[in-house]
Amino acid sequence: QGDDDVSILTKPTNFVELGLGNVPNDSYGFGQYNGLGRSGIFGIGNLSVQGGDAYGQGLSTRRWSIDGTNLGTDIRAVDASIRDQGHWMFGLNFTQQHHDIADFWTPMQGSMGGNTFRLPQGFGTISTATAAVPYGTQALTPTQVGYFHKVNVHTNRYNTGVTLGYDIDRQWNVQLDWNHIEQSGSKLISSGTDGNNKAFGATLAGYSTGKEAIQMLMNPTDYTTDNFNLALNWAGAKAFFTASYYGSRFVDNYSSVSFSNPYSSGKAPNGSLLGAPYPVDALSTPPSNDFNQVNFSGGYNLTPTTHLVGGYSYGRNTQNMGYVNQDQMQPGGLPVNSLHGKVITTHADLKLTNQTTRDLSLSAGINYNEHDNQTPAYTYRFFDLGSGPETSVSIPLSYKITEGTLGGDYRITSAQRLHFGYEYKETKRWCNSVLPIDPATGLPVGARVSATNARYYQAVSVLDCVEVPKAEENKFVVNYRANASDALNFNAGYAYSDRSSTVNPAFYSPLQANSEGFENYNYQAFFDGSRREQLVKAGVNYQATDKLNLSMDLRGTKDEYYDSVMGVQQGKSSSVNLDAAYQVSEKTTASVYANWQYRSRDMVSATGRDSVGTAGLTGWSNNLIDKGSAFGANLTHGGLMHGKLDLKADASYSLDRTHYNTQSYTTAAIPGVVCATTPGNAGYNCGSTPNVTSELLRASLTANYHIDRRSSVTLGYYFEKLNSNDYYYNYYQLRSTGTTTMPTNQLSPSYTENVVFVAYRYSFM
Amino acid sequence: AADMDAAKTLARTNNCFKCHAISRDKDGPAWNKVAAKYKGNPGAEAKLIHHLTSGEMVKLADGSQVHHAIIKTDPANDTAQIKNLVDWILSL
Amino acid sequence: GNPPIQLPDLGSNHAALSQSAAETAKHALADDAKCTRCHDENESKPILSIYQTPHGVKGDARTPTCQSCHGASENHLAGDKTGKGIPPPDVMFNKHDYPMSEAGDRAGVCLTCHKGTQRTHWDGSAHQTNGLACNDCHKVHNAVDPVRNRETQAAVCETCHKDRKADLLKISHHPVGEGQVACSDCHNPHGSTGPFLLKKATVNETCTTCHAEKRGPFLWEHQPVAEDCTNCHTPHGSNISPLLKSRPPFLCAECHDGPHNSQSAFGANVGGLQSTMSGFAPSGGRAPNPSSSGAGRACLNCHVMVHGSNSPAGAFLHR
Ligand code: HEC
Ligand code: HEC
Ligand code: HEC
Ligand code: HEC
Ligand code: HEC
Ligand code: HEC
Ligand code: HEC
Ligand code: HEC
Ligand code: HEC
Ligand code: HEC
Ligand code: HEC
Repeated sequence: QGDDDVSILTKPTNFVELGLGNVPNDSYGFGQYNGLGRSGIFGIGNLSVQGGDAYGQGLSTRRWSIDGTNLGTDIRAVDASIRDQGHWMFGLNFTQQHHDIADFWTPMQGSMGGNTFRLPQGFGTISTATAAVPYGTQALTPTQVGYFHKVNVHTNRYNTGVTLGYDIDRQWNVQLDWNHIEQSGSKLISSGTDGNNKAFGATLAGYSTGKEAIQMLMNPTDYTTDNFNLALNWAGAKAFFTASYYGSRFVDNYSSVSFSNPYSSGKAPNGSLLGAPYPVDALSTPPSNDFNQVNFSGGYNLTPTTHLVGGYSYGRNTQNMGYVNQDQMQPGGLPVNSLHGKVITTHADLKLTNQTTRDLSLSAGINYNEHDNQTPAYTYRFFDLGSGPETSVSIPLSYKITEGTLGGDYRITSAQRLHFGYEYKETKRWCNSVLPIDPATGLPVGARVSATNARYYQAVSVLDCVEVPKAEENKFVVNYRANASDALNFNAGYAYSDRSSTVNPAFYSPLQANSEGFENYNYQAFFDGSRREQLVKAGVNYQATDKLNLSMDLRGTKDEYYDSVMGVQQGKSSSVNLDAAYQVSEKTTASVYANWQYRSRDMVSATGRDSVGTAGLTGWSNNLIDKGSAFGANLTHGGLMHGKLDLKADASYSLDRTHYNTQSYTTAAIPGVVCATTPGNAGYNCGSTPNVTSELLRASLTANYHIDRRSSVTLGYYFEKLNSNDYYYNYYQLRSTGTTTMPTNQLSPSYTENVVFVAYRYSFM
Repeated sequence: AADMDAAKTLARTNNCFKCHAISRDKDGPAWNKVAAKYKGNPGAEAKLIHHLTSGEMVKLADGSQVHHAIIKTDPANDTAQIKNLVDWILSL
Repeated sequence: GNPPIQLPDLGSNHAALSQSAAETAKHALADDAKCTRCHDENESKPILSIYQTPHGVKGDARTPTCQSCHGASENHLAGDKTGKGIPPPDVMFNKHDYPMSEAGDRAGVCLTCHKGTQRTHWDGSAHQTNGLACNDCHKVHNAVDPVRNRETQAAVCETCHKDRKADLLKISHHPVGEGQVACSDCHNPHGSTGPFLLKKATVNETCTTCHAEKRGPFLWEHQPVAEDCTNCHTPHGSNISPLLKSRPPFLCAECHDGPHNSQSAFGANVGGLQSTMSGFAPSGGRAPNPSSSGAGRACLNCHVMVHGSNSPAGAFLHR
């Protein structure tokens, strides 16, 4: 028996598990990622088999293994490897990932995964009558509605990996990893195309563009990604070093998606009348691209307590996929037939750490990242959605970030430690490809200057492509840890950072030829703007008894955009966690946890444009609040029925709510939007949005019965209920859309599932 | 029959297994040998309980003499637990 | 400072190198027997299961013996000489009967063999400076180390990172709980040169290992995308699909003030149809209510290529 006990520990236990389960209700929400797809019976298949003479304190170095998980579902995975440890290894793995995205209804014909979508022959055109309600897609005829059919939009990823390792000797090793991902299926995408008649313009509150006809399409994802890493590693007594090549190649097997314009099907063929709506329009899909990178990293122990590590990498991201040929949309043709896109990324880092005494350790480091976009800029003329020919210039952006860090850890007493850190970070942005200036306007070629917007560019003397060419951030961190006693641990921390941004007053994006990006007085995009950020955190862990552990932690952050008169003003977040784990007996454990999260953002926006002040603008504020809570409990109870039965119970509940509130904060002389708090002609643009709520309850109970040493049976019950409520879906219901938007009838994924399953496991050594 | 799980747990918490194994001699004799030795001996249980509670002198493999470990139970002096362990050892 | 703990020399000049695998294994097992003599299959923790792991492949001369990790522990081996109990081994990874060794000593043991590669940036990393050692995550005596297994890894991380556990229950999340994405697909817990222990030097480089279609470069770029995916996305979980920090149009309004539609307030109207006064009406003075700019996908009804577009007719991220 003793020997047997030894081999149970030193030799792997192999098993094969087979079973069945049942999903009663059809719901894309439940099947989102679990691979259970639609309702009905699913298979359970798991296996793990290992072998080789190196197991069981064997004298050889060979081992192999095969593992399979979830074989009966759409998230199956298989892993196999064989190795002669210390010499070589070879591994293969395969995983399927499934993402059920939505059930959606469309009149379009064309299959999911394909790239052409046409309205059915008999669909006709959508009512463009404007004299009576309802209009447009709100007035679809019963025949048109009859063409709507349901499609389950989903994607699959097939992930195949190969690993090869070779140990040249004790110090040198070569490692190759190749990962091949095929993603197929569809995601949802919207598409805008011209409305029926250019002359109809609704320039009213809440709506001021052309008459774009919006519909959702199943955007095919027929992607292949190959990630390849070849590394040479060396480790000696005092130093180590890795040189590697990383290649990532993305191929999109489609270059466009074409679709009928629901407002003009059967009208003028493409290109026959410039400026008229396209009966058939097209969207591009993500371009195929390559990324090749060489990496070097290494370390050297200057002394046993002083270490230096550093690294450098150089990468090239290129993209030169031929443009989708849409001659009819390009008056005057194309300047080039493909992008010749090239971004050089450079990374370098160096860090010195020292621990001369046990009481003090110090570190200093620098970190540099550059994204140098060498793509040439060109001017493109094209017919945009719902408007006449536009002239836009591409603006390939470059940036670099340099960081310096200093850190120290000081042991105050054997039970207390203090960590302090300082970081400096500088961000710089620029464009390599500079545009020619039109002497007539003093603006980049193609920029449209009209009477209404001229004012904003009068003062322009220097033209630049970024709003914040430089930002500097200083950050200070302090953390304190203490062991108040053997059983009581405590930690607290505070961080403060201040980013100050240098705004380029002459910022002018040539793409913004018509309506401009950021030109209101002191408006800055939050990721660019000056910001003060603070973080506090604290935690306690109390080992009340040998068997009971309690812990709590708190965290809060606050960010303020102190130079932004408009835009994001501030944000806050906080979270609290409570946890208790109780070891009832050797085979029985219980634990509970609770989590609360809160996040808010405050923004200020305004109608109109003014580069000199906020006076005269109609402004409003938006406040966003996110609240979440989660609770969970689990219990494992083993050793029942003379050790033959183990029980496990898990339950979790989570509730998340998001809502936005819009308030009018100033009324201006210039008539703009009227902030209305009730539905009506003018819109309903103040007040709170309905809550976006999701409430998830999960409970599972599994019983594992060991028939004998080889056989066991698992019986399980799994309950999951999602209640979700999202205003997002209201808009897409039949007769609730804006008149220019095709409904999709998508529904919020609420469901209740009671899954039962049974599986038999055969174990062997 | 003896409760094997309870017996092993008690033996583990008392570090008995640092010197004993079930079927192999370590510093102390294999417990299945002990069981064989006392097979059919009606006084075995009482003798072993005494052995485990009195700290008799024993000889280790390296020849040194030490007091044999005295078993501890939780709650203290729970003879039922000790009896269970001894019964299990004797059943091996 | 204190002298570092002396470990048996396992450098390249170790005698083991010249031996066959079987001889190496026999020597190593004999070394282990100094400890397994007492610590065997009857331990309450499955100590001998280490022989199922790569550390237990004794024919590989690089693998550790018990003493490589726990220290030579001469006093412990000598036994109870004083009658006060057996002195502790040199390195204690957990606190049971003996006090636990300092984190630096515990990690130092592992780093004698595991320096470099993934652990190049351990010193000064968030985990190191917060007092973690390797065995706070790794269970080396278990047949399968839970932190190395994709299905069980998240539970290990979540013992400390509890917000993440709650995030993964949100309606939009990376399929971590479903075992399809692991924390270590994005993070290198041993330290990295990227922010937040990300595996790659930047956020975008990390995300585009799986979402390479967002890598570009695009003809029409969107600056926040080219710079940092987390400007808009929160990676672990969100109430707003797909992993968005906020719902458009409010998301877009965090950066866009001027252009057409973001010049108007969007409040309750985004919630859907509130009145019959809907439709685009050229003459009747009626606004589409709700408007396609605020409701549903909002800005993304038209600006469909938020991540960038490669269509020469796709400026403004339209096609
Ligand atoms: C119904 C279609 C539609 C919707 C919805 C829409 N836009 Fe646009 N957007 C356009 C068109 C067309 C243009 C280009 C010409 C123009 O400015 O009218 C444009 C241009 C822009 C530009 C570039 C302006 C420039 O010239 O530099 C920005 C930025 C922009 N939109 C932001 C938004 C935001 C933010 C929202 C949501 C609040 C939004 N859009 C909703 C159609 C739309
Ligand atoms: C320090 C080493 C050591 C420890 C610890 C130890 N033993 Fe022993 N044990 C021995 C030795 C040596 C003998 C042999 C005595 C002899 O035959 O002289 C022995 C003998 C025995 C015997 C057989 C006695 C007999 O009469 O033949 C039993 C039963 C026993 N031990 C049980 C236990 C239990 C239960 C524990 C834990 C509470 C334990 N031992 C802990 C060393 C140890
Ligand atoms: C003579 C028997 C014996 C030998 C040989 C021995 N140990 Fe121990 N070891 C013990 C005992 C008995 C304990 C428990 C001491 C206590 O709880 O007070 C122990 C405790 C330990 C612990 C702490 C266990 C815990 O749960 O906290 C570790 C780690 C350990 N030994 C490692 C080793 C290593 C490594 C070796 C070889 C270098 C070794 N031991 C050799 C008897 C031994
Ligand atoms: C690769 C390093 C390494 C090797 C080799 C190693 N140990 Fe351990 N040992 C550890 C670590 C780390 C722990 C803490 C628990 C864990 O990680 O599983 C530990 C824990 C222990 C414990 C106490 C159990 C606990 O929970 O603290 C004992 C006893 C022990 N080891 C004995 C041994 C023996 C005997 C050997 C040789 C067969 C050995 N160890 C080999 C690293 C090692
Ligand atoms: C004396 C050398 C040595 C020491 C000390 C050592 N290891 Fe290892 N470790 C190895 C070798 C050799 C391998 C196998 C490497 C390979 O896969 O080729 C390994 C593999 C591993 C692996 C990968 C296991 C797997 O399943 O692939 C982990 C994790 C690991 N060690 C953690 C640790 C930790 C934690 C410690 C300290 C508690 C430690 N090691 C101490 C030599 C050592
Ligand atoms: C915060 C958790 C954590 C800590 C602390 C940690 N590890 Fe790991 N370790 C992991 C995870 C997760 C993986 C799996 C990584 C992967 O699959 O890419 C891993 C993988 C490994 C591997 C196997 C992969 C390889 O590089 O060969 C080794 C060896 C290893 N760790 C050693 C260490 C050592 C040594 C330390 C201490 C300096 C340490 N770990 C500290 C979480 C941790
Ligand atoms: C899809 C990539 C991805 C996965 C998978 C992932 N993370 Fe992250 N994580 C990130 C990114 C990006 C950040 C930094 C940005 C942020 O949180 O806003 C981050 C930040 C963090 C932070 C620091 C956050 C803070 O506010 O200090 C922690 C802790 C963390 N992740 C833990 C985890 C854990 C635990 C898991 C697995 C349960 C995990 N991550 C899985 C991408 C990922
Ligand atoms: C034993 C506790 C513990 C475990 C287990 C643990 N961490 Fe951490 N982790 C910490 C602490 C402490 C910090 C730093 C304090 C903080 O900000 O939360 C941290 C910080 C981080 C950060 C933020 C780093 C930064 O730069 O701000 C990330 C990301 C992270 N951990 C990921 C992981 C992942 C992934 C795993 C599992 C493989 C893991 N952690 C396991 C304790 C742990
Ligand atoms: C290890 C691979 C991997 C990495 C790295 C990764 N993702 Fe993902 N991501 C996935 C998978 C798998 C899915 C789900 C399947 C799908 O939608 O393709 C997903 C889905 C998403 C989704 C859609 C979620 C939804 O609810 O529909 C978003 C958004 C996303 N990822 C963003 C990111 C960002 C941002 C990062 C970097 C911080 C990142 N991902 C890094 C694998 C990854
Ligand atoms: C300007 C805000 C913004 C930034 C920055 C951004 N995204 Fe997104 N992302 C969105 C929005 C909005 C959606 C949902 C619209 C959609 O599905 O097309 C989305 C959807 C996604 C999806 C799910 C749909 C799909 O296409 O698979 C993935 C994956 C994703 N983003 C990855 C990324 C990655 C990777 C980055 C960084 C390279 C990034 N995102 C940067 C706004 C952004
Ligand atoms: C984190 C900040 C940020 C967010 C969030 C953001 N944008 Fe942008 N956006 C920018 C910046 C910066 C530019 C480029 C600067 C510029 O040219 O105005 C830009 C450019 C654009 C453009 C191109 C026209 C132009 O003016 O260059 C469009 C269209 C656009 N954004 C739409 C959107 C939509 C739709 C969303 C919401 C999904 C969104 N943006 C969210 C920062 C942001």
